[in-house]
Amino acid sequence: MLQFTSVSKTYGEGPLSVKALRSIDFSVTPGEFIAITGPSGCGKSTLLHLASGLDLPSAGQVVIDGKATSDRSDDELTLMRRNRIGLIFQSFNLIPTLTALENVVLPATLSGRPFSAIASNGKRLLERVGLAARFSHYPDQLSGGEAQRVAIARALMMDPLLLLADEPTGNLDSASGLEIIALLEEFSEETVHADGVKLSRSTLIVTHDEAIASRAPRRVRLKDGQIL
Amino acid sequence: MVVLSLTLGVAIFVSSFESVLAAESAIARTANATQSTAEWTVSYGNFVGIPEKVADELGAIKGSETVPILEASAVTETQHARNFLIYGVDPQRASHQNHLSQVSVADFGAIASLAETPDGILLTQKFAASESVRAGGLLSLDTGKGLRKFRVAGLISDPRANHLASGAFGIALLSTAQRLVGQPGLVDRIEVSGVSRAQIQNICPTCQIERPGKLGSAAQDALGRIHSLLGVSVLALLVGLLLIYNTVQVSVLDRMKDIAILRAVGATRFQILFLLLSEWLAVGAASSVFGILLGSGMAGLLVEYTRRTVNTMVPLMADAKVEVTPVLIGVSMIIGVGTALAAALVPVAAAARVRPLEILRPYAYRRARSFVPAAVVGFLLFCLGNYGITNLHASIEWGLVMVAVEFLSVALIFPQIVIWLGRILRKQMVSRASFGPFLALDGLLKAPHRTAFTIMTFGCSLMMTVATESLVDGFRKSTGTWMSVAFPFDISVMGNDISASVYGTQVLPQKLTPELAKVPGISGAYSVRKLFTSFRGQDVMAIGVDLEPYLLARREKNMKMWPTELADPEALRSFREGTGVFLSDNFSELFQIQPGESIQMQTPSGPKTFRVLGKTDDYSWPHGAFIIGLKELQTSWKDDVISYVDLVVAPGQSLAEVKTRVQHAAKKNQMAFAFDRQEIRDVTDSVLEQTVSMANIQAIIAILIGVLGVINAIWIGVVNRQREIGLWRAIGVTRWQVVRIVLSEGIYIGFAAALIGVVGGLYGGWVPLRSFSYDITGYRYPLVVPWPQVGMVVFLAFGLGIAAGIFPARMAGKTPVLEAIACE
Repeated sequence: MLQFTSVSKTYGEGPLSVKALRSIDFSVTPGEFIAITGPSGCGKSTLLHLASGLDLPSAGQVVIDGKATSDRSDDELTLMRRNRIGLIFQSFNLIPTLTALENVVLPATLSGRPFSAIASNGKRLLERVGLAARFSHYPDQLSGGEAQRVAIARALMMDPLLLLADEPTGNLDSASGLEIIALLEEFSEETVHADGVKLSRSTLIVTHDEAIASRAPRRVRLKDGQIL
Repeated sequence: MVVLSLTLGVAIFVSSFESVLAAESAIARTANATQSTAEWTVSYGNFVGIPEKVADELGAIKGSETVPILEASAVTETQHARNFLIYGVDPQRASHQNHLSQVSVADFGAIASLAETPDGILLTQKFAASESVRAGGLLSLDTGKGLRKFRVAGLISDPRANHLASGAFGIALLSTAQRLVGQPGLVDRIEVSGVSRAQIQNICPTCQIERPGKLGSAAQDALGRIHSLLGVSVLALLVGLLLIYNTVQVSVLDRMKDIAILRAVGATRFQILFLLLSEWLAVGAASSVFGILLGSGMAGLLVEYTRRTVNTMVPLMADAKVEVTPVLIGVSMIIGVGTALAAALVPVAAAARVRPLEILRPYAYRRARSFVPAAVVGFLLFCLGNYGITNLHASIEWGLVMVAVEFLSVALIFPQIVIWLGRILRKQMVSRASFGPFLALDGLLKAPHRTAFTIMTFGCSLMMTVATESLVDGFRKSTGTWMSVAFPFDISVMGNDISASVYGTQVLPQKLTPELAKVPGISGAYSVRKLFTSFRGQDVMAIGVDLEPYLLARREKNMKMWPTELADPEALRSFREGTGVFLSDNFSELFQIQPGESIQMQTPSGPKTFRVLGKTDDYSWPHGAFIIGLKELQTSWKDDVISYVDLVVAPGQSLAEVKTRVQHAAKKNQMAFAFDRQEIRDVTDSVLEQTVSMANIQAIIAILIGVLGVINAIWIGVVNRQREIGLWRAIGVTRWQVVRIVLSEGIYIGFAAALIGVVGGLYGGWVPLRSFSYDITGYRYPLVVPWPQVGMVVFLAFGLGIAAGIFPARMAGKTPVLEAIACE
């Protein structure tokens, strides 16, 4: 599903360059729920960005669905993110002028599907994350936990094979954080229909919260850009 | 962007003002040169001679000084016939009143040489050089009484003379001028000092007595057209104001976080206000300096257009110099700085008022709030402006203030309209369209003020061309109809070349009409005399028509009676007898005189009362015209010349061939020019086009400002949505989709601007411009949709809207995703 082979990532050049990842080998198989932990600046977010194709490795290969991200064009990477990957951010990244429902269905409409055709799916997802009464609310009318639930619903809208969450509880109180993790656990157990094949969804969570990380069946610890 | 748009705004103002001032001073120089220190100007009206003996009678009053002056128009007998002014004066008398002081009293030494040169004339150095004439040589001039040869007695040494009437004038002795132009014993006006109005009136009860210095009617008309340019510049400035407001607002918004931090660490509201306004003061000052420099350059171009336009009406303007006066610099600086500060005040005050916490917490980008109160105020102001324009009939300056009020009222209403429209469209798009157009719309609705002002800026700049053209087309349509129903002629022969100067005053001898009637191929000929006379203090046009041959010509052309009331035998009899006249519609409107009433005219033969038989469409003169029998005109105004000979070409004859024969026959004894209907139409169209083209230059600059506004708005929208665009890209929006979304914003703005440009332009042409035109001229034009301009505006709106979006769209497409989603 996802394979990191001798992946290194360096930011900048010359003496001021920063090595975020150093020759990482790492793979994710279908159905896995993995927590990536480590101190600030250890390369957790960089790993997630490389996994989503938002960034490319300086050396080595990140292979998703059998093809290296460096061999894909920008459009291919974009379509891969749209159709295969669900992204969840620490600061929710909802569009403030769209309602909760509009935010959720956004990835699907990008494929040209009319709102009316996908609205029911969006509503269903919002109901599943406990926001049945919040379809028409705008982000500034939602609490942090509710906003993150909308972000999760949006990430699930395209039924992705890989769910990538970058510090999803970082901006939330502990109770809300636990609710969010519970939701992610619930969704990670689902199977996904991809190219006529049933596959289990994989989930990768970046967190520095040990309590949350401890709930993941598999933990990957990073330090100074290397897996411990 | 702010500096550029403010620079252009100030440049438009400076260039308009400078060109108007340059034109005014050039015209005034001509007027001043023929002005003396006299207290009164006594005449029988324009283009009508007054007996010189009146000057003698006035001069007999103890303590009085009188200077009789003859001003005669002529045409040079050269390959390119030029209009020329013969100035007949008595040097001895003229020097008493410091007459011609602006030309050169010192040159009156040279004028003395005139007495020693039979048929002598003094020329300007410029004219002599351009026509290759030397002292002692001969100059052939057509004076309307045939070709006359003047002997060049010398050249006027004062170089300032070259700037007057294009340098195309000459000074002759009064007696010489009277003899050679065929006005023995007559002068055009008498300048009088040392007597009262009552004393003059006592000696000459039928005389018009005015203070000297009054510009001629044609000059006033030309100046009126030039002044209309100021209206365009006011609109352009208003357009610029909104753009600047937009830019300032966005600039302040961009810095809201900085402002919030400053407030959080202890900066007072006053300190924030002072800091930001100081910045905009500096921006305004810098832009004004650039604007003055650019505007002065542009003024040169505008002056050239102005010169051409004025000179096609009357040769008054030459070598107009663009002068940047300290007053203009001061006013421009005030306008530039004032505009920047006025535009900055609202957003800066809002920024100073804001609570730091509101800005520092996430989701500070609020959804659009309601602008209903502002819209209600705007609506009331709009009604007030509309009422002022259509009902107050005040000065053009007051009208411009009302237009500015309307413009600002729309600026108050429009943000709320954008919100309402946005909500409707939003619902439609969510249910029917894909998210691309929806996101573009969403981007525009994030800042309804900015979107509204951008659309207004762009739309209003486009509106100017539609409004101007709508009025001009209305004028064309009206005059076209008038020409087709009023005139039965195929060829018109006149004393001046109208393609060089529309308001030439050259006349033709009456005997020319029967001569031209004999030209093979001509089946009808009638004479027309046009002269100006004073009515209630205004110069109105008297049009004398030789009725019988005119009616014959109409019959030959199978044309219905015009004016239609002539079909009534009683009206026909009255017109024939000279007791009745017809008024042009604008005469009737301007002086509020209706058919059936009577008008009293002061004529050289004494006061005359005429019954108004009817009123009719007539566009001969913007201050009003009346149509009278030629014989009555000649008797009452003691006139024996004509202005045109109108000819009807016999059926089956070639117009071009007959015209050549007419031209040949007419030129036997005097300078005369033959024009067919199409040529006359082309000349009037070209004068219109030149006037419009002056306005169009400014409209183009305004459109440029408008486009800058669109680029600015979309670009700033992109910058403000960096994080959002990064998110789009992160969740699967391709670069090309981002580009399309941003370009769609340009299309939306273009669509709305096209709507404003067309609808607002038609409204602008229909209400304010038409009202101004009516107030000034009494003409009421129909509403004409200028389809080519409408098409052009729609094309420009969409084309420029998309073009304006290209740069921001490319920038948006290249948004670095990780940096964008990381930015707060």
